Amino acid sequence: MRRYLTDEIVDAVIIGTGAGGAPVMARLAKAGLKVVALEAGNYWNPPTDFATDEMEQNKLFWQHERLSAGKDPLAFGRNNSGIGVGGSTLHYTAYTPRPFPDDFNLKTDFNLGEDWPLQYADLEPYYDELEHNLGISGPVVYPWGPPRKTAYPLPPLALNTAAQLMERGCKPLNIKTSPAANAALSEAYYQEYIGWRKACTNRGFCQAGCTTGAKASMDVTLIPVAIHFGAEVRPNSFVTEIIKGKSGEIEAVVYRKNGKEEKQLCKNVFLCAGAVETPRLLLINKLANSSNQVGKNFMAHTGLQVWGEFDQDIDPWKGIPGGLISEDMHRPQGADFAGGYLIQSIGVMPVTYASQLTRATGVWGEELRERMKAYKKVAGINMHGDCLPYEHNYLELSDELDDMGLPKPRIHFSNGENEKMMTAHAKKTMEDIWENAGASHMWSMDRNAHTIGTCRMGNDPEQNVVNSNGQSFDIPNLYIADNSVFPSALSANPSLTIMAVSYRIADAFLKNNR
Amino acid sequence: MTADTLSALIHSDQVTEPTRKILLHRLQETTNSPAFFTAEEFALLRAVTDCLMAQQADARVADVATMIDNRLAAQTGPGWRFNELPADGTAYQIGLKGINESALLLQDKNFVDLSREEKNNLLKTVQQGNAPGETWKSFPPARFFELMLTETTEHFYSHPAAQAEINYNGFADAQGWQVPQI
Repeated sequence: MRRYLTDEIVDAVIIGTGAGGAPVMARLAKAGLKVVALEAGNYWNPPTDFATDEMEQNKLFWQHERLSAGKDPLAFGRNNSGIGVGGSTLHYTAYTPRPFPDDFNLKTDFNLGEDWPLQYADLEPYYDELEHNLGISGPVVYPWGPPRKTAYPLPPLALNTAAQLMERGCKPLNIKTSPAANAALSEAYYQEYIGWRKACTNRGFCQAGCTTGAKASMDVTLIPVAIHFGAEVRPNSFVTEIIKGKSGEIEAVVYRKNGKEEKQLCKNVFLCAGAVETPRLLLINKLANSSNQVGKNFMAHTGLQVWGEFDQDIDPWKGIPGGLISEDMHRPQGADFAGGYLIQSIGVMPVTYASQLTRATGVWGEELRERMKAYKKVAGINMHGDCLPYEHNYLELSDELDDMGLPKPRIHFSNGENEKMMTAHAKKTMEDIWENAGASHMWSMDRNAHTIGTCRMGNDPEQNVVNSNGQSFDIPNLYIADNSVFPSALSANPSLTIMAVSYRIADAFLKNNR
Repeated sequence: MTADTLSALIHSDQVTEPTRKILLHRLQETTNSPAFFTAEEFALLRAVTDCLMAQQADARVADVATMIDNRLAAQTGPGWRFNELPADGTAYQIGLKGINESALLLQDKNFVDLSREEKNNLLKTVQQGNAPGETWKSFPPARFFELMLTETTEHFYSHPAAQAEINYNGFADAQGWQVPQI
């Protein structure tokens, strides 16, 4: 790996190496730019560093404490925030559906929420590229959305038991289902600059770190490409300061590495630390907030799960969790809410299941021991849907300092009316599906997934933090490329779109800086 | 699965080395010298978590109290907490104090001296938010209970013996799986 000196003015410092940072890193390095990526966490070697043990793998989740407030306080860490080279893609489940074109125009269609300053057509070439480069497995014909220019490069992964049950349960209800798109290899796959990656072995620990490289986390896909072209990745480097010079532009980034402070000089900064840490850094450094939108518009997808017991062995941890999908509810007929949702099969590891069971139902003691004995026979499905931005959902800096002397973020989150109505609709639909599939002892878990929207992109500098190219309206050489910039949640799982938006931001930067 | 069978499986080549290391450590994760809690707090935490997981002190599947003590001493955590609770370590100390205060008010005994049934009934009132005592006036009992119960449950089911109880063998990770056809 090429190394740069800290007092060398590199072309770009990228903060964060997840779904936002890695595409920028790869694109800029391939274009010949000098790139240094700063990652707060470790650079893991999964085959030797990852155990098939959930508690041990908590090391992949963001450790620095957030304060969770509101009527529906979010669980952070394992649910939505990674640390380590690869970021949250180290623990994402690799669900990679595309959004629909109308996902970008919620305000136009419903007069609620916000429109994107982009259209599906602007991102489509990046979806094509990513599905091919990451090796996304999916059906020959995808039944929903506009016709596609490219097909998935790999056939769908084996349907896990929840997927088989969901298929069974949806049929009598005339709900169309399909094998889903997942960023995991159903066959061995060759990628330029990387070599051969192995096929998925159904270990089912996608959410606790893939050990075989079959899941397309950034550390086994785009980051090696970036390094091949001369990018430097500095792990264990926690960014604390972004220094703006008298010119009004960013000159350097300060970070703490192994207890010492270092400063990297740079011409541009791409902030890709996710929808909690990106605004937190901007607020701490008092940067880029003339719009007063930094930290505002916090969204988290509606994600109710329905669980049930079945009369045969399900082994819910085996296989890719999201084997099956239905997007029939993208815009349900007669819906009393804006936007829509999709339904996915899910898998679950034992500690996660137990934790969710007690948190959602409050069960303990003998009853808990008995309920858990049914784990081998449980299966679940979840909705994944829109969430509107509200004034009451936001991130702020608290007065409490962490052990680096930085203020801890406090996130206020409460579901609004739209989310409640959508969730009620989905709950009924999913309970019907699960009943038809043969589930007994059904229980459901209200939850929200992901962190979105806190540095919104748009055309109006008074209402948005960055423009449609991810560039700060206030500081011309500061860019944001992560899920902070989403003006709306989209009904689709975010990772693929984060990567596509990030590629687009990188391409616009290269075009405008030549 | 007997303890011997479980141990044999963990030592076999069906389990990768990184996983084996963790499981072996967890199999012997028990202490009588807590690193974070005082001896009294630790005894109380053991009594409470034994109720939560329906364990008996002389035949524990997993020593959850040690696991909680270890992680608090190491200052690791899930990366978030409820805004209305103090830092986890302090939350546990206050919550345990509150539980004992409730026991003294209700039964004129320390929690550890109550019968199992009395303990369980008291814990139910903490979970429901109507346990008596000054502590709970400025410290939310239901939220604390949720923190403690979720963490207890996670530690318990991360233990190989508990995983054997629920017929989970996913830690035998050297080879891949065939997805069951149903």
